[in-house]
Amino acid sequence: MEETVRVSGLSKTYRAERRRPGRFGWLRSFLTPEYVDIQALEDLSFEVLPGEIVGLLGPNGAGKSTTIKILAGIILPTGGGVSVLGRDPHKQRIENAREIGAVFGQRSHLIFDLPPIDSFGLLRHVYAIGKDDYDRQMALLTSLLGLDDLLLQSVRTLSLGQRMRCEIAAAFLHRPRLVYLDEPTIGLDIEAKHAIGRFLTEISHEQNTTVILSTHDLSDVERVCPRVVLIDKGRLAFDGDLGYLLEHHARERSIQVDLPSSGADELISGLRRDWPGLRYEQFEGRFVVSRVPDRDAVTEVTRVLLSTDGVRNLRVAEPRLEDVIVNAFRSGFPDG
Amino acid sequence: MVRALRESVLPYVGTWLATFRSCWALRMEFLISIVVAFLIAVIMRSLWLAIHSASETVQTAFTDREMVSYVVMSQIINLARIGHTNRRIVYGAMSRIARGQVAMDLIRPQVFQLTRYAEWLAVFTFDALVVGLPLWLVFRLVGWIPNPASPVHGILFIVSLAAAWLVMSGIHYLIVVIAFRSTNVFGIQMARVALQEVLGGSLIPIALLPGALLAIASVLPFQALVFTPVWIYLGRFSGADLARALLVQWGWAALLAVAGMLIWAYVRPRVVVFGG
Amino acid sequence: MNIPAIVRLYLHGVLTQIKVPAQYRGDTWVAIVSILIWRGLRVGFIGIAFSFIADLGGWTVWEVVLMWANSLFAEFLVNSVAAFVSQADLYFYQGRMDYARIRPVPVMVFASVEQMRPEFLLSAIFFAIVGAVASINLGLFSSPLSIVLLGLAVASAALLWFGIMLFMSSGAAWLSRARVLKFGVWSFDEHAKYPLDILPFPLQVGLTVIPYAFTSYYPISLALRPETHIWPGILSLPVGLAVAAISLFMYGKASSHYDSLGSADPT
Repeated sequence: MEETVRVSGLSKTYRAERRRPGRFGWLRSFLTPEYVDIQALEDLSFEVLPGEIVGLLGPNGAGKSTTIKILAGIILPTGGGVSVLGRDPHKQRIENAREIGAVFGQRSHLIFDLPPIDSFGLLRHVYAIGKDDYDRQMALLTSLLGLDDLLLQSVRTLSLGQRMRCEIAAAFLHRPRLVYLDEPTIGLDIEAKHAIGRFLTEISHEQNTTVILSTHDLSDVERVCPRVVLIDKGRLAFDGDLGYLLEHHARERSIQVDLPSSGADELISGLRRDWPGLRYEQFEGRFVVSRVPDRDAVTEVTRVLLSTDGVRNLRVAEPRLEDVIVNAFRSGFPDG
Repeated sequence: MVRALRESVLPYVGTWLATFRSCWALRMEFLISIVVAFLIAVIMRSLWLAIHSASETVQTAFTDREMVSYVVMSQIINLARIGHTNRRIVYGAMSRIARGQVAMDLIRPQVFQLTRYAEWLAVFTFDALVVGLPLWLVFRLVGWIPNPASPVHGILFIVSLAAAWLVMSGIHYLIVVIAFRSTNVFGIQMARVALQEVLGGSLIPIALLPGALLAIASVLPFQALVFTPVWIYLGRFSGADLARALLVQWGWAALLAVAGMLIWAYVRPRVVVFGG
Repeated sequence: MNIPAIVRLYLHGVLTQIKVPAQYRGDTWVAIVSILIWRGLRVGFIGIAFSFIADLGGWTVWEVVLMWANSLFAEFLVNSVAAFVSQADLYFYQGRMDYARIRPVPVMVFASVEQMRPEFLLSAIFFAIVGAVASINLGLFSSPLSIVLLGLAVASAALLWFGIMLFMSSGAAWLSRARVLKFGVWSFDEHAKYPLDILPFPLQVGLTVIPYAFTSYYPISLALRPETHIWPGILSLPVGLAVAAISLFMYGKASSHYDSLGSADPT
């Protein structure tokens, strides 16, 4: 099977202008600009197969957007190459554009003052979609994304979550073979994130659409992306099965609780005896933030805590992406 | 008492300062404004000199020197220019209301109207210092404009400019609160600029308007913007006329402020804060 | 993409954009009335100025109106069908380019459809009418030569406006400078359409070099008085072509700058 996306040895250097300091810095910078090079991507390689849903994971500034912009043909790489559906996305921009869709989470491609249906109608002509195809796809998107009540409501009156569902529908309108979603979940609540995740799984299954979803939030890709590509500072940190990543590099969890006023010390020393790897911090005598060594231990520690009198407000926090990255780098690159 | 006064005034001083700083950030626009206003003044001078030399009507109303002084002065204090370069600031509030971001303004312990006036005062003072004053100096040096007719006229010119700012702010504010739901800020603004330039005296001395337009202009507030201050500067008003002109100006300032207050009180409950 | 598809896209764009003011009921009227006031008062101003005089430096009122209308008609015509040229900086700066570049149509076409505003079309129609009335009064439509020269005047003005606007907006993006010059150009252009010969010599030179005068005075004076005003009116079309070509080169520069850098934030 030929891959949908091939990224090989990709690198990208931005040349950013730097304002000189001082009161007349703006004037001096105007006359003799000073530049700094910013390495956004460095020797990045991965492939995506048809119908895959891949999570492009990384903290802010890791190079996710840059990767997506290069893949979409919006900007040129400095080095290395990309091939999308067998084409060079920048050289064959228009042919490429016919078969891809994209959502840039920070921006909108809906007309702000009109209901989404008008933006869809305009995009129908941009992509020269036939009436029947348009109606069929619209019906599918409406039911999968629950757009019924939103289509005729002015975009300016939609909530962020409602608007994002419409943005996503706009990207899938022309039945693209490949869709990029750049941080589509920023600012959304859990319910809205889940709705988007469900939709991606369904549409990909239904129309064999390949999806690349970028995010800085681990919980976005769980249940949606079987495979993740983790990048950090423009370099590949991990490429493979999400389960493997979580199992091997995201074992640590933290549990936060309010401790009882008496017996707290005995409880902690008991926990430390049974799980020597457990770390904890105490804030103002009220919270214990424990770092639990692995996922199995989380269940056990939680059970012990819950069975103790006076323990309240228990919360298990997801592993932080930064910790996962540190962990992945420390243990080398598994090829998953 | 003093503390209460300070607490109620300080926020507006803060608004003034913040806007003044953002004008500084837009200084390039103001520099361009100088060039553009200079060129327009030169063009208008040529145009009106050509008209003056061919028309006895105009010659009886002005000498050629007076004609030039009027045209150039009216470009120096052309308040339409201020709305022009800074529509982001001047109509920023309008788009914030329309886009539902006005909540930020409403939760502050500041009166919406006074905050807008303070913003526009900053734009006005910045423009006067950065554009108006340099232009005045240049045209004074080349001798196209005289000094104020007398020290008293000079002082009253400043008083009259202050009233012009209040009238301008009143008009801006009315547009902001009446038309905030409009998507056509640009069109409204252009209509205002046109009304202001033709009926306010910066394109045509109001005294030269034909009968019907003169009648319309004299019952509208626009004449208070440019015509009245320039006429005072040139010493064409004196005695009772001068007092009446100032009274009309300040009357418009007060009337527009009250109208703005009443309309905002009516509109505010209807402002929907959109988005989620 | 073939021509009929582009025309269909444009028509659909106009229909979509007309819905924007219609969305706000009263707003349609606000837009129409304000444009009529804005434009009507400017025509009115010329009328008032001419009520004092028979001619302005030898030009009659209709002649001056025609100079003025020719330039403004061309400007709004360009803004109606190629709105992108005056908004290119917005695309380069605010990242709108990202969405424009993933569409299977040329960026200029997509962005012009997206930026189309009914009020531009309305203004273009307004000035077409004003220009036509002036031409009829001047008897221009009765001579084939005048009709050809008038057509040339419109064409060169349109090319010039295309060039001037694209040059300003993409130049701003290429140099990464703010959009200040654009505002300057824009607030000045209303006043740069009077007969050139009433202005002081330095300004005449200035308006020839910054080729405003080629959008109104030069080509129209050629159309009105071909026997005495051949130069430099005859150069209007070549000048228009040259300016348009330079602006496309500038757009190419801004575009490849974007190719390599993207929008301001490299994240």
